Amino acid sequence: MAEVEAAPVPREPVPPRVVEYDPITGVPAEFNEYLPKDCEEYKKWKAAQEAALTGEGVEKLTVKEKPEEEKKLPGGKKSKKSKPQVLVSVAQRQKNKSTTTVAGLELFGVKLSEAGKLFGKKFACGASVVKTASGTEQIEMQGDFLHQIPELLLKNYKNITKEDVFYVDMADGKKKKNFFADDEEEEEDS
Amino acid sequence: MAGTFKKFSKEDVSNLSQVKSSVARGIRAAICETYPYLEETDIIETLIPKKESVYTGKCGHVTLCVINNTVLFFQERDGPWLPTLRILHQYPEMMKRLRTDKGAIKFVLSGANIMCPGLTHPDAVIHDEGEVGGAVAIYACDKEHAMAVGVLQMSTADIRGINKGIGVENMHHLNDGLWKMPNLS
Repeated sequence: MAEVEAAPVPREPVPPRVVEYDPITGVPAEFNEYLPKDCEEYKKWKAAQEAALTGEGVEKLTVKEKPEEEKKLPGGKKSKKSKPQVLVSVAQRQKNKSTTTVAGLELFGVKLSEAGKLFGKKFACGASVVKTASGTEQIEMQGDFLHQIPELLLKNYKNITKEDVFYVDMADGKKKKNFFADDEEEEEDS
Repeated sequence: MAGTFKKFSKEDVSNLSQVKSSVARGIRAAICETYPYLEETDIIETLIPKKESVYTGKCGHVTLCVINNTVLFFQERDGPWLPTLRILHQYPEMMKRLRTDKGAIKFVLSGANIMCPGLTHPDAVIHDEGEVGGAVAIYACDKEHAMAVGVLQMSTADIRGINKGIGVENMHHLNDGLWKMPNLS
């Protein structure tokens, strides 16, 4: 901080204060918790906080989950991440039409292109293989075949059992197993 | 007018141009008048060296004083030149200080103006007196660093006496558009 001017009173150079800003939020750490809750920085900071807290808890959870998974797969393959299941869901389309989506078949060694064709033929509808946001593929059929699909799956594919087929029922989430033939259809955002 | 920099990005800055040295001297003088501390300690020479070219940018009614692609001061219409919080953090003694209670923090960080009760609260402290139009730094009870800079809408005496309404207009606060974008390329 060199003094450029010749001053009558010698001034002491004042160095700038070095302030530490939080690496996640960019503001002084003392204000982290006061940031507006809808801003990016706060969300990132909150996520980091939670991750730190549950870091140990998560390990305990996964140990419990493993034995449960093995029970549910008597004849199925060992899954890497989630339990292999076939998920059938129905979504609404224009007018009175709907689409049926079948996901998870590839986990049972089913060739999707063949399956798609088969469905189309059997039900006289349009069926295609579409990719989802996560990269996996699903079979999308024109029309509502919620109840017919499971039967067809069991009939044609020996390695799919009643236990493995699920459909989306009403409020959120995958619930009932297939061998209840219920007449509930739900709305799903596709 | 609160939250001047609510939405602010490089694109919002129009005509970033170098100013004549006479204009630069004018800005420097105005800043020295508002912040005698900067002149006394010669910090002004570090912030705005005589040799460096000063640039000005406009963003709505706000004029930005830019040196070496960094925004150092800003001015709304013909108001006082205010430092960015990053500069204020480096030289906290340059400005008058007001300290609010804890409850006001989240509102201030969302861009709200500082209301009188936030400054007359038992936990709040009016460190320095000031008149209408004066530039002040806003701190919070138990916090070390400034969280906002603003302009007094009432004299500190009136803030105590009347204790109603907006005491300080919040011009710039932590994590607003200007804070997130100190450098223009």
